[in-house]
Amino acid sequence: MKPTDEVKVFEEKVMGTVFSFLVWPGALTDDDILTLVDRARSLLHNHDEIFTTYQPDSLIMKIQRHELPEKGISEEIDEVIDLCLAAKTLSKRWFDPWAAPNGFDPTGLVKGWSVQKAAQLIFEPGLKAVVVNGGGDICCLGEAPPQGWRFGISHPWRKDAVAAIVEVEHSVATSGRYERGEHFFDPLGFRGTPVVSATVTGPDLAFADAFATALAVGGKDAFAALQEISDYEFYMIDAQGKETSSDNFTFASDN
Amino acid sequence: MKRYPLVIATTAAGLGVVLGFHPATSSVGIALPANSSKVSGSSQTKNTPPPTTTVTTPTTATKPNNSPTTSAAPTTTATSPNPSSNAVKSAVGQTENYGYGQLSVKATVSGNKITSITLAQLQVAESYSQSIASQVIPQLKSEVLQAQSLRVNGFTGATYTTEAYLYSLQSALHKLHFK
Repeated sequence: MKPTDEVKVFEEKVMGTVFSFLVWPGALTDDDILTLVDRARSLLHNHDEIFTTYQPDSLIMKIQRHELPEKGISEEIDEVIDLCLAAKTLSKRWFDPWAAPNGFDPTGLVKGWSVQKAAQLIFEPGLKAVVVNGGGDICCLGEAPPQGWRFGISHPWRKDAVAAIVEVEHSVATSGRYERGEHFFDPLGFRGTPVVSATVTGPDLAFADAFATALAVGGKDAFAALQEISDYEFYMIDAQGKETSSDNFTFASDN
Repeated sequence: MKRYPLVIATTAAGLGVVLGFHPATSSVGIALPANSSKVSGSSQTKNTPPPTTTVTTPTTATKPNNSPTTSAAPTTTATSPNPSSNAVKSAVGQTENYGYGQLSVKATVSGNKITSITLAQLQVAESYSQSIASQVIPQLKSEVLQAQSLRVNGFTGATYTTEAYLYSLQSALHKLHFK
C-alpha cells in the first residue's frame, strides 16, 4: 500500500469523554494504523477500568477504601503512584492525590498519563506522527507540521471561542471548570485562589496534567511554586478574566 | 463523530491572541477585558491588538434533516466573476455532532479574508433548549473573523459544542483552500 501524508482520524468514547487520534501514516499501511489504534483503544478502556472512580469495584476504589494495598496490585497502579509521588514533590504539594477527601485519588494525573501511553503505543517505527487528544489532554509524537503543533485553548466563559492558541512541542493539558463532574480540592486546605482555566505544556503529559490540576486549584499561589519546575510552562485565567503566563509559555505567533 | 483535523494554512493575525472579546457581543458570563494583555508571573507580556468588531448577522437556520453526520455537501459558490484573489467564495463545513445535536458552519471568504461565518445547520436534541444553543454558538465568529485563522491541530479545554463548531468551520475553510 502506498504511504501517504494524509492524516487519518479516529475516535473513541472512553473515560467519560471523547478521545481523538490523528495519525499521519508515514510508511505504515492502513491496516497497520488500524491495528495500532485499536490496541490504543483497548489500552484506554483497560486504564479506565482500573482507575475509574465511578465504579465502586474498580481497583483504585478498593485502594481508596483501604481494601487493597496501594502497591503491588497492578503494574499500572504502581507506575501511577510513582508519578504521583514525583508530581507531589515537584509541585510542592499543590498536587497531592493522597490529600483527597475520600482517600487516594490520582484522577488529576491519570488521564494525561493514559493519553501519553496510548500515543506511545501508536507511535511505531515508520509512523510519521500521532496526536492523541483525550478531552483536552494532548500528546504529540513524531514530526510536527511546519507551523508546529497548535491547539486552541477554549475560552472559559464563551463556549465557542478560544482564549489563546498555544504552540506545543510534546504535550499540553488544560484543567478548569470546563466539564461537568470535575471537582477540585486543595491538598493543604484553602490556600489558593482557584482559577477557571489552567494550561500546562511540557515534555511529559502525566506531569502536565497533574500540574494543570494543581494550578486550577491553587491559582496564583500554586503558579509561584510551579513556575520553578524546569521544562514546564503555565498559563491561567482567573475568575476576573485576568490572564497570567510563565515567561516561556509559547503562544502561537503570527507566521 | 467525524473530525476534520486542521492543517489548514492560514495566518494568525494578532499573535497568540486573546481573540478579542467584545463586551457588546457578549451575552454569556464575563468577557475578558478587551485590553487585557497576558500578565506574566514576572515579565512576559503580549500585545493584544484592539478588537475590531465585525458585525455579521448570524443566520441560525434550523434544518432538522436526518442526513448522515459526515456528508454536508460542499456548496462552493463563486459570487464574483473575477477569478482573482478577491473572489468571494463560501462553503459549508462538515456536519458535526456536538453532544446535543448536529451543526454545520458556513464560511465566506473574500480573497484571503474571512468575511462571514454563519451556522448553516443547527439541529438540537429536545433535551437541550434551542434558544440556548443558538445564543451560544454564533458567538465565536467575531473571534475567528478577527483572528482570521484557525490553524490548529485541535483544542484543549473545549466542550463538545466548541469542538464541533470549530471543526466544521475548519472543514469549510479547507474546502475553500483558504490560506
